[in-house]
Amino acid sequence: MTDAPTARTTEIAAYLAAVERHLGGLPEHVRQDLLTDLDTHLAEVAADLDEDASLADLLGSPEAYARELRETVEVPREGAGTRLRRSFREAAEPLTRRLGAWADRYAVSTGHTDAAELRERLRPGWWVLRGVLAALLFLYLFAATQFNAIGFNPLGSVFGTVIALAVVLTAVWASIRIGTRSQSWSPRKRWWTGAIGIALVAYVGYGMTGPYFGFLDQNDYVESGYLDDHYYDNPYYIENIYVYDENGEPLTGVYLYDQDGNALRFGDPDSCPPGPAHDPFGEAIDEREAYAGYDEYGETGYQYPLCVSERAEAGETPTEESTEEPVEDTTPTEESADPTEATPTPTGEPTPSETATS
Amino acid sequence: MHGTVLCVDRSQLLKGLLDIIVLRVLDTEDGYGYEILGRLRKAGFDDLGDASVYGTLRRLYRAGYLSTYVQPSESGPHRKYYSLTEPGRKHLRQMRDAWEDVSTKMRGLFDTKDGS
Repeated sequence: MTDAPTARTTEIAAYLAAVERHLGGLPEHVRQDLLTDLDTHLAEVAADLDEDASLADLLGSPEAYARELRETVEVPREGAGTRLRRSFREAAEPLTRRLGAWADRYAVSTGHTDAAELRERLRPGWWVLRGVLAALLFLYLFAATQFNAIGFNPLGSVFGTVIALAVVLTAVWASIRIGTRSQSWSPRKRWWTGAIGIALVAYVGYGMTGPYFGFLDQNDYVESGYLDDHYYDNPYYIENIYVYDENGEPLTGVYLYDQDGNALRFGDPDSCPPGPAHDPFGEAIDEREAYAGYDEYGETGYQYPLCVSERAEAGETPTEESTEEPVEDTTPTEESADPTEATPTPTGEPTPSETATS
Repeated sequence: MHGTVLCVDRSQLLKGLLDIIVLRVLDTEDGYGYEILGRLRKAGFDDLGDASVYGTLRRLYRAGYLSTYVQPSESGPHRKYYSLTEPGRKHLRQMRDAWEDVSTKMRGLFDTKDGS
Protein backbone atom coordinates (compact mmCIF):
# COMPACT_ATOMS: atom_id res chain seq x y z
CA MET A 1 0.00 0.00 0.00
CA THR A 2 2.79 2.35 0.94
CA ASP A 3 4.46 2.15 -2.43
CA ALA A 4 1.25 2.94 -4.32
CA PRO A 5 -0.61 5.47 -2.26
CA THR A 6 -1.80 7.45 -5.21
CA ALA A 7 -3.33 4.46 -6.95
CA ARG A 8 -5.09 3.54 -3.72
CA THR A 9 -6.30 7.10 -3.24
CA THR A 10 -7.77 7.20 -6.71
CA GLU A 11 -9.42 3.88 -6.15
CA ILE A 12 -10.99 5.12 -2.90
CA ALA A 13 -12.17 8.31 -4.59
CA ALA A 14 -13.69 6.36 -7.46
CA TYR A 15 -15.41 3.92 -5.11
CA LEU A 16 -16.70 6.80 -2.99
CA ALA A 17 -18.05 8.61 -6.03
CA ALA A 18 -19.82 5.46 -7.19
CA VAL A 19 -21.40 4.92 -3.77
CA GLU A 20 -22.45 8.55 -3.70
CA ARG A 21 -24.20 8.15 -7.04
CA HIS A 22 -26.27 5.33 -5.62
CA LEU A 23 -27.24 7.11 -2.43
CA GLY A 24 -29.74 9.48 -3.99
CA GLY A 25 -33.17 9.73 -2.42
CA LEU A 26 -31.91 9.63 1.15
CA PRO A 27 -32.67 12.61 3.37
CA GLU A 28 -29.97 15.15 2.69
CA HIS A 29 -28.59 15.34 6.23
CA VAL A 30 -28.33 11.54 6.39
CA ARG A 31 -26.61 11.39 3.03
CA GLN A 32 -24.19 14.13 4.00
CA ASP A 33 -23.45 12.43 7.29
CA LEU A 34 -22.74 9.12 5.60
CA LEU A 35 -20.54 10.67 2.96
CA THR A 36 -18.50 13.02 5.14
CA ASP A 37 -17.02 10.11 7.02
CA LEU A 38 -17.02 7.51 4.33
CA ASP A 39 -13.67 8.55 2.87
CA THR A 40 -12.04 8.16 6.28
CA HIS A 41 -13.69 4.81 6.68
CA LEU A 42 -12.69 3.58 3.23
CA ALA A 43 -9.14 4.69 3.88
CA GLU A 44 -9.13 2.63 7.09
CA VAL A 45 -10.44 -0.36 5.18
CA ALA A 46 -7.92 0.11 2.39
CA ALA A 47 -5.08 0.28 4.89
CA ASP A 48 -5.80 -3.33 5.85
CA LEU A 49 -6.00 -4.53 2.26
CA ASP A 50 -3.47 -6.71 0.59
CA GLU A 51 -1.66 -4.91 -2.12
CA ASP A 52 -3.15 -6.83 -4.97
CA ALA A 53 -6.70 -6.78 -3.60
CA SER A 54 -9.14 -4.09 -4.57
CA LEU A 55 -11.73 -2.37 -2.42
CA ALA A 56 -14.49 -3.98 -4.43
CA ASP A 57 -13.07 -7.44 -3.60
CA LEU A 58 -13.54 -6.79 0.07
CA LEU A 59 -16.62 -4.61 0.12
CA GLY A 60 -18.52 -5.74 -2.94
CA SER A 61 -19.64 -3.46 -5.72
CA PRO A 62 -20.25 0.21 -4.86
CA GLU A 63 -23.86 -0.34 -5.82
CA ALA A 64 -24.32 -3.17 -3.35
CA TYR A 65 -22.45 -1.21 -0.72
CA ALA A 66 -24.74 1.77 -1.23
CA ARG A 67 -27.82 -0.46 -1.06
CA GLU A 68 -26.64 -1.96 2.20
CA LEU A 69 -25.97 1.49 3.59
CA ARG A 70 -29.44 2.63 2.66
CA GLU A 71 -30.99 -0.35 4.33
CA THR A 72 -29.23 0.30 7.60
CA VAL A 73 -30.04 3.99 7.75
CA GLU A 74 -33.58 3.69 6.55
CA VAL A 75 -35.05 4.27 9.98
CA PRO A 76 -33.43 7.51 10.99
CA ARG A 77 -33.81 8.13 14.65
CA GLU A 78 -33.96 11.63 16.02
CA GLY A 79 -32.35 13.75 13.39
CA ALA A 80 -30.80 17.16 13.15
CA GLY A 81 -32.37 18.50 16.34
CA THR A 82 -30.72 16.02 18.64
CA ARG A 83 -27.47 16.35 16.82
CA LEU A 84 -27.56 20.12 17.03
CA ARG A 85 -28.30 19.97 20.74
CA ARG A 86 -25.48 17.52 21.27
CA SER A 87 -22.93 19.58 19.38
CA PHE A 88 -24.06 22.63 21.34
CA ARG A 89 -23.68 20.75 24.59
CA GLU A 90 -20.24 19.57 23.61
CA ALA A 91 -19.20 23.10 22.67
CA ALA A 92 -20.45 24.52 25.95
CA GLU A 93 -18.96 21.70 28.00
CA PRO A 94 -15.90 23.55 29.37
CA LEU A 95 -18.07 26.45 30.48
CA THR A 96 -20.72 24.29 32.09
CA ARG A 97 -18.07 22.26 33.86
CA ARG A 98 -16.47 25.39 35.29
CA LEU A 99 -19.85 26.78 36.35
CA GLY A 100 -20.61 23.45 37.97
CA ALA A 101 -17.34 23.58 39.89
CA TRP A 102 -18.11 27.09 41.13
CA ALA A 103 -21.59 26.07 42.14
CA ASP A 104 -20.18 23.13 44.07
CA ARG A 105 -17.65 25.29 45.85
CA TYR A 106 -20.37 27.77 46.73
CA ALA A 107 -22.59 24.99 48.04
CA VAL A 108 -19.76 23.52 50.10
CA SER A 109 -19.08 26.91 51.68
CA THR A 110 -22.70 27.04 52.80
CA GLY A 111 -22.30 23.73 54.58
CA HIS A 112 -23.67 21.35 51.94
CA THR A 113 -21.92 18.50 50.24
CA ASP A 114 -22.46 19.78 46.71
CA ALA A 115 -24.61 22.01 44.53
CA ALA A 116 -27.16 19.27 43.93
CA GLU A 117 -27.87 19.00 47.63
CA LEU A 118 -28.18 22.75 48.01
CA ARG A 119 -30.56 22.84 45.07
CA GLU A 120 -32.61 20.08 46.65
CA ARG A 121 -32.75 22.07 49.86
CA LEU A 122 -33.82 25.27 48.11
CA ARG A 123 -36.47 23.67 45.94
CA PRO A 124 -39.51 24.18 48.23
CA GLY A 125 -38.52 27.81 48.65
CA TRP A 126 -38.49 28.18 44.92
CA TRP A 127 -41.95 26.69 44.71
CA VAL A 128 -43.28 29.20 47.24
CA LEU A 129 -41.57 32.09 45.46
CA ARG A 130 -42.98 31.26 42.07
CA GLY A 131 -46.42 30.75 43.61
CA VAL A 132 -46.34 34.17 45.28
CA LEU A 133 -45.17 35.86 42.11
CA ALA A 134 -47.82 34.12 40.02
CA ALA A 135 -50.42 35.37 42.49
CA LEU A 136 -49.09 38.93 42.32
CA LEU A 137 -49.18 38.79 38.54
CA PHE A 138 -52.72 37.48 38.62
CA LEU A 139 -53.85 40.18 41.05
CA TYR A 140 -52.23 42.87 39.00
CA LEU A 141 -53.73 41.71 35.73
CA PHE A 142 -57.10 41.14 37.40
CA ALA A 143 -57.15 44.65 38.80
CA ALA A 144 -56.00 46.08 35.50
CA THR A 145 -58.64 44.33 33.42
CA GLN A 146 -61.57 44.38 35.84
CA PHE A 147 -61.18 47.76 37.46
CA ASN A 148 -58.99 49.39 34.88
CA ALA A 149 -56.69 50.38 37.70
CA ILE A 150 -53.04 50.18 36.85
CA GLY A 151 -50.88 50.33 39.93
CA PHE A 152 -53.80 49.20 42.05
CA ASN A 153 -52.64 48.26 45.52
CA PRO A 154 -54.60 45.23 46.73
CA LEU A 155 -53.47 45.83 50.30
CA GLY A 156 -55.25 49.17 50.30
CA SER A 157 -58.47 47.83 51.79
CA VAL A 158 -59.55 45.03 54.10
CA PHE A 159 -61.48 43.33 51.35
CA GLY A 160 -58.55 43.63 48.97
CA THR A 161 -56.18 42.24 51.59
CA VAL A 162 -58.38 39.22 52.18
CA ILE A 163 -58.70 38.55 48.47
CA ALA A 164 -54.96 39.02 47.91
CA LEU A 165 -54.13 36.70 50.79
CA ALA A 166 -56.49 34.06 49.45
CA VAL A 167 -55.06 34.29 45.96
CA VAL A 168 -51.48 34.09 47.25
CA LEU A 169 -52.22 31.09 49.46
CA THR A 170 -54.00 29.30 46.63
CA ALA A 171 -51.20 29.98 44.18
CA VAL A 172 -48.54 28.82 46.64
CA TRP A 173 -50.53 25.68 47.34
CA ALA A 174 -50.87 24.97 43.60
CA SER A 175 -47.20 25.69 43.01
CA ILE A 176 -46.06 23.32 45.76
CA ARG A 177 -48.41 20.67 44.44
CA ILE A 178 -47.05 21.06 40.93
CA GLY A 179 -43.57 20.91 42.38
CA THR A 180 -44.07 17.65 44.26
CA ARG A 181 -45.92 16.09 41.35
CA SER A 182 -43.27 17.15 38.84
CA GLN A 183 -40.69 15.00 40.60
CA SER A 184 -42.08 12.01 38.76
CA TRP A 185 -42.58 13.74 35.41
CA SER A 186 -40.53 13.18 32.29
CA PRO A 187 -37.40 15.32 31.97
CA ARG A 188 -38.92 17.25 29.10
CA LYS A 189 -42.04 18.16 31.05
CA ARG A 190 -39.96 19.13 34.05
CA TRP A 191 -37.76 21.26 31.85
CA TRP A 192 -40.79 23.11 30.57
CA THR A 193 -42.15 23.58 34.09
CA GLY A 194 -38.85 25.05 35.19
CA ALA A 195 -38.59 27.27 32.14
CA ILE A 196 -42.09 28.64 32.62
CA GLY A 197 -41.36 29.27 36.29
CA ILE A 198 -38.16 31.14 35.53
CA ALA A 199 -39.86 33.15 32.79
CA LEU A 200 -42.63 34.06 35.21
CA VAL A 201 -40.21 35.18 37.89
CA ALA A 202 -38.18 37.17 35.38
CA TYR A 203 -41.25 38.86 33.96
CA VAL A 204 -42.75 39.71 37.33
CA GLY A 205 -39.41 40.76 38.70
CA TYR A 206 -38.88 43.10 35.81
CA GLY A 207 -42.36 44.50 35.44
CA MET A 208 -43.89 44.44 38.90
CA THR A 209 -41.19 45.79 41.18
CA GLY A 210 -42.43 49.23 40.21
CA PRO A 211 -46.11 49.10 41.09
CA TYR A 212 -45.75 46.83 44.10
CA PHE A 213 -42.63 47.90 45.88
CA GLY A 214 -41.39 51.39 46.47
CA PHE A 215 -42.33 53.22 43.34
CA LEU A 216 -46.03 53.10 44.00
CA ASP A 217 -46.30 56.82 44.71
CA GLN A 218 -44.47 57.85 41.64
CA ASN A 219 -46.77 55.88 39.41
CA ASP A 220 -49.81 57.66 40.77
CA TYR A 221 -48.71 60.93 39.29
CA VAL A 222 -49.79 61.86 35.87
CA GLU A 223 -46.63 62.93 34.21
CA SER A 224 -47.04 66.15 32.33
CA GLY A 225 -44.29 67.84 30.54
CA TYR A 226 -44.88 71.43 31.48
CA LEU A 227 -44.59 70.92 35.21
CA ASP A 228 -41.33 72.18 36.50
CA ASP A 229 -38.83 69.68 37.76
CA HIS A 230 -38.78 71.50 41.05
CA TYR A 231 -42.23 70.13 41.61
CA TYR A 232 -40.70 66.72 42.22
CA ASP A 233 -37.37 67.70 43.64
CA ASN A 234 -38.61 69.83 46.51
CA PRO A 235 -39.29 67.99 49.72
CA TYR A 236 -42.26 70.27 50.16
CA TYR A 237 -44.02 72.14 47.47
CA ILE A 238 -43.27 75.87 47.20
CA GLU A 239 -46.38 77.68 46.17
CA ASN A 240 -45.21 81.21 46.60
CA ILE A 241 -42.30 83.25 47.93
CA TYR A 242 -42.49 86.29 50.16
CA VAL A 243 -39.51 88.52 50.61
CA TYR A 244 -39.04 90.88 53.56
CA ASP A 245 -36.50 93.54 54.15
CA GLU A 246 -34.52 94.04 57.35
CA ASN A 247 -37.33 96.02 58.88
CA GLY A 248 -39.82 93.30 58.33
CA GLU A 249 -41.49 95.15 55.52
CA PRO A 250 -42.68 92.94 52.67
CA LEU A 251 -40.87 93.42 49.41
CA THR A 252 -42.81 93.17 46.23
CA GLY A 253 -41.83 92.96 42.63
CA VAL A 254 -38.84 90.78 43.45
CA TYR A 255 -37.11 88.58 40.87
CA LEU A 256 -34.89 85.71 41.89
CA TYR A 257 -31.81 84.51 40.02
CA ASP A 258 -29.31 81.76 40.51
CA GLN A 259 -25.55 82.06 40.25
CA ASP A 260 -25.66 81.80 36.47
CA GLY A 261 -28.14 84.58 36.07
CA ASN A 262 -30.99 82.25 35.28
CA ALA A 263 -34.39 83.16 36.61
CA LEU A 264 -35.66 80.97 39.44
CA ARG A 265 -39.24 79.92 38.97
CA PHE A 266 -40.49 78.62 42.27
CA GLY A 267 -44.16 78.41 42.90
CA ASP A 268 -47.16 78.11 40.68
CA PRO A 269 -48.56 81.35 39.22
CA ASP A 270 -51.66 79.49 38.13
CA SER A 271 -52.61 78.95 41.75
CA CYS A 272 -53.41 82.65 42.15
CA PRO A 273 -57.08 83.48 42.58
CA PRO A 274 -58.53 85.43 39.71
CA GLY A 275 -56.93 88.76 40.20
CA PRO A 276 -58.59 92.00 41.25
CA ALA A 277 -56.76 93.69 38.45
CA HIS A 278 -58.73 95.91 36.19
CA ASP A 279 -57.69 97.60 33.13
CA PRO A 280 -58.20 101.34 33.08
CA PHE A 281 -61.12 101.05 30.70
CA GLY A 282 -63.08 98.61 32.82
CA GLU A 283 -63.07 95.91 30.27
CA ALA A 284 -62.32 92.30 30.94
CA ILE A 285 -58.66 91.70 30.63
CA ASP A 286 -56.69 88.67 29.67
CA GLU A 287 -56.79 86.34 32.60
CA ARG A 288 -53.10 86.02 32.51
CA GLU A 289 -52.63 89.63 33.31
CA ALA A 290 -54.53 89.14 36.55
CA TYR A 291 -51.31 87.86 37.96
CA ALA A 292 -49.09 89.68 35.64
CA GLY A 293 -45.57 90.11 36.74
CA TYR A 294 -44.17 86.79 35.77
CA ASP A 295 -42.74 85.91 32.47
CA GLU A 296 -42.91 82.19 32.29
CA TYR A 297 -40.62 81.63 29.39
CA GLY A 298 -38.64 84.84 29.26
CA GLU A 299 -35.49 85.80 31.05
CA THR A 300 -37.01 87.75 33.86
CA GLY A 301 -38.71 84.82 35.53
CA TYR A 302 -41.42 85.19 38.15
CA GLN A 303 -42.08 88.28 40.13
CA TYR A 304 -42.67 87.67 43.81
CA PRO A 305 -45.05 87.52 45.51
CA LEU A 306 -46.68 85.80 42.63
CA CYS A 307 -50.23 87.01 42.91
CA VAL A 308 -51.34 90.50 42.16
CA SER A 309 -53.73 90.55 45.11
CA GLU A 310 -50.88 89.86 47.51
CA ARG A 311 -48.88 92.62 46.00
CA ALA A 312 -51.87 94.87 46.39
CA GLU A 313 -52.12 93.95 50.03
CA ALA A 314 -48.51 94.84 50.41
CA GLY A 315 -49.56 98.35 49.57
CA GLU A 316 -48.90 98.97 45.98
CA THR A 317 -50.93 99.89 42.98
CA PRO A 318 -51.67 96.84 40.89
CA THR A 319 -51.62 98.67 37.61
CA GLU A 320 -47.99 99.59 37.99
CA GLU A 321 -46.50 96.27 38.73
CA SER A 322 -45.60 95.43 35.17
CA THR A 323 -43.14 98.28 35.26
CA GLU A 324 -41.66 97.41 38.61
CA GLU A 325 -37.99 97.31 39.10
CA PRO A 326 -36.29 94.18 40.41
CA VAL A 327 -34.36 94.62 43.58
CA GLU A 328 -31.75 97.13 42.72
CA ASP A 329 -29.92 97.52 45.96
CA THR A 330 -28.73 94.82 48.27
CA THR A 331 -30.22 96.73 51.17
CA PRO A 332 -33.55 97.91 49.99
CA THR A 333 -34.89 101.06 51.59
CA GLU A 334 -38.39 101.53 52.77
CA GLU A 335 -39.32 103.07 49.52
CA SER A 336 -38.76 99.76 47.86
CA ALA A 337 -42.35 98.99 48.60
CA ASP A 338 -43.06 101.87 46.33
CA PRO A 339 -41.03 100.85 43.35
CA THR A 340 -39.14 103.18 41.14
CA GLU A 341 -39.93 103.70 37.56
CA ALA A 342 -37.02 101.87 36.00
CA THR A 343 -37.48 99.09 33.52
CA PRO A 344 -37.97 95.57 34.86
CA THR A 345 -35.29 94.03 32.69
CA PRO A 346 -32.78 92.44 35.01
CA THR A 347 -29.99 92.33 32.47
CA GLY A 348 -27.97 95.23 33.80
CA GLU A 349 -28.54 96.09 37.38
CA PRO A 350 -28.95 93.03 39.60
CA THR A 351 -25.94 91.22 38.11
CA PRO A 352 -26.62 87.97 39.90
CA SER A 353 -23.22 86.63 39.01
CA GLU A 354 -21.60 89.28 41.13
CA THR A 355 -23.71 88.50 44.11
CA ALA A 356 -23.04 84.86 43.70
CA THR A 357 -19.30 85.26 43.76
CA SER A 358 -19.33 87.57 46.77
CA MET B 1 -22.73 -12.93 0.16
CA HIS B 2 -26.36 -12.15 -0.47
CA GLY B 3 -26.60 -14.90 -3.00
CA THR B 4 -28.45 -17.62 -1.17
CA VAL B 5 -31.91 -17.45 0.38
CA LEU B 6 -30.44 -18.57 3.70
CA CYS B 7 -28.00 -15.70 3.67
CA VAL B 8 -30.64 -13.05 2.88
CA ASP B 9 -32.94 -14.36 5.62
CA ARG B 10 -30.24 -14.28 8.21
CA SER B 11 -29.13 -10.83 7.25
CA GLN B 12 -32.72 -9.62 7.48
CA LEU B 13 -32.89 -11.10 10.96
CA LEU B 14 -29.62 -9.51 11.93
CA LYS B 15 -30.65 -6.12 10.65
CA GLY B 16 -32.98 -5.63 13.58
CA LEU B 17 -30.17 -6.57 15.93
CA LEU B 18 -27.43 -4.44 14.39
CA ASP B 19 -27.84 -1.71 16.97
CA ILE B 20 -27.51 -3.99 19.94
CA ILE B 21 -24.65 -5.91 18.32
CA VAL B 22 -22.58 -2.82 17.54
CA LEU B 23 -23.34 -1.18 20.88
CA ARG B 24 -22.37 -4.35 22.73
CA VAL B 25 -19.08 -4.64 20.87
CA LEU B 26 -18.24 -1.02 21.64
CA ASP B 27 -19.29 -1.33 25.27
CA THR B 28 -16.10 -3.17 26.19
CA GLU B 29 -13.69 -1.14 24.09
CA ASP B 30 -13.73 1.81 21.69
CA GLY B 31 -13.09 0.90 18.10
CA TYR B 32 -12.87 2.21 14.55
CA GLY B 33 -15.04 1.14 11.64
CA TYR B 34 -13.19 -1.67 9.99
CA GLU B 35 -11.84 -3.05 13.22
CA ILE B 36 -15.38 -3.29 14.61
CA LEU B 37 -16.32 -5.42 11.62
CA GLY B 38 -13.36 -7.65 12.46
CA ARG B 39 -14.60 -8.08 16.02
CA LEU B 40 -18.02 -9.04 14.73
CA ARG B 41 -16.54 -11.55 12.32
CA LYS B 42 -14.59 -13.02 15.20
CA ALA B 43 -17.83 -13.28 17.18
CA GLY B 44 -19.31 -15.30 14.35
CA PHE B 45 -21.34 -12.71 12.48
CA ASP B 46 -19.79 -13.59 9.16
CA ASP B 47 -22.55 -12.30 6.96
CA LEU B 48 -22.57 -8.73 8.23
CA GLY B 49 -21.32 -6.35 5.57
CA ASP B 50 -19.01 -3.44 6.11
CA ALA B 51 -21.64 -1.04 4.83
CA SER B 52 -24.14 -2.32 7.40
CA VAL B 53 -21.70 -1.75 10.22
CA TYR B 54 -20.65 1.65 8.92
CA GLY B 55 -24.26 2.72 8.36
CA THR B 56 -25.20 1.53 11.83
CA LEU B 57 -22.30 3.40 13.38
CA ARG B 58 -23.37 6.61 11.69
CA ARG B 59 -26.98 6.09 12.68
CA LEU B 60 -26.11 5.44 16.30
CA TYR B 61 -23.86 8.47 16.22
CA ARG B 62 -26.68 10.66 14.89
CA ALA B 63 -28.96 9.29 17.59
CA GLY B 64 -26.46 10.41 20.23
CA TYR B 65 -25.54 6.93 21.38
CA LEU B 66 -21.98 7.15 20.13
CA SER B 67 -19.32 9.82 20.14
CA THR B 68 -16.23 9.91 17.97
CA TYR B 69 -12.62 10.92 18.22
CA VAL B 70 -9.78 10.73 15.74
CA GLN B 71 -6.53 9.01 16.55
CA PRO B 72 -3.48 8.83 14.33
CA SER B 73 -2.22 5.34 13.65
CA GLU B 74 1.42 4.31 13.29
CA SER B 75 0.77 2.97 9.83
CA GLY B 76 -1.75 4.39 7.46
CA PRO B 77 -4.40 7.09 7.83
CA HIS B 78 -6.02 8.59 10.93
CA ARG B 79 -8.66 6.40 12.47
CA LYS B 80 -12.02 7.53 13.68
CA TYR B 81 -12.82 5.81 16.92
CA TYR B 82 -16.33 5.36 18.21
CA SER B 83 -17.18 5.16 21.88
CA LEU B 84 -20.41 4.74 23.80
CA THR B 85 -22.06 7.77 25.33
CA GLU B 86 -24.15 7.62 28.47
CA PRO B 87 -27.42 7.51 26.50
CA GLY B 88 -25.81 4.78 24.40
CA ARG B 89 -25.12 2.69 27.49
CA LYS B 90 -28.65 3.21 28.68
CA HIS B 91 -30.01 2.28 25.28
CA LEU B 92 -27.90 -0.85 25.27
CA ARG B 93 -29.24 -1.87 28.69
CA GLN B 94 -32.81 -1.42 27.52
CA MET B 95 -32.19 -3.28 24.26
CA ARG B 96 -30.52 -6.05 26.16
CA ASP B 97 -33.46 -6.41 28.54
CA ALA B 98 -35.80 -6.48 25.57
CA TRP B 99 -33.65 -9.08 23.86
CA GLU B 100 -33.49 -11.30 26.94
CA ASP B 101 -37.24 -11.07 27.22
CA VAL B 102 -37.87 -11.91 23.58
CA SER B 103 -35.29 -14.71 23.44
CA THR B 104 -36.68 -16.36 26.59
CA LYS B 105 -40.10 -16.34 25.04
CA MET B 106 -38.76 -17.60 21.71
CA ARG B 107 -37.00 -20.45 23.47
CA GLY B 108 -40.15 -21.29 25.34
CA LEU B 109 -42.07 -21.20 22.11
CA PHE B 110 -39.68 -23.52 20.31
CA ASP B 111 -39.31 -25.90 23.21
CA THR B 112 -43.01 -26.72 23.34
CA LYS B 113 -43.90 -29.53 20.99
CA ASP B 114 -46.91 -28.09 19.18
CA GLY B 115 -45.67 -24.55 19.08
CA SER B 116 -48.43 -23.04 21.21
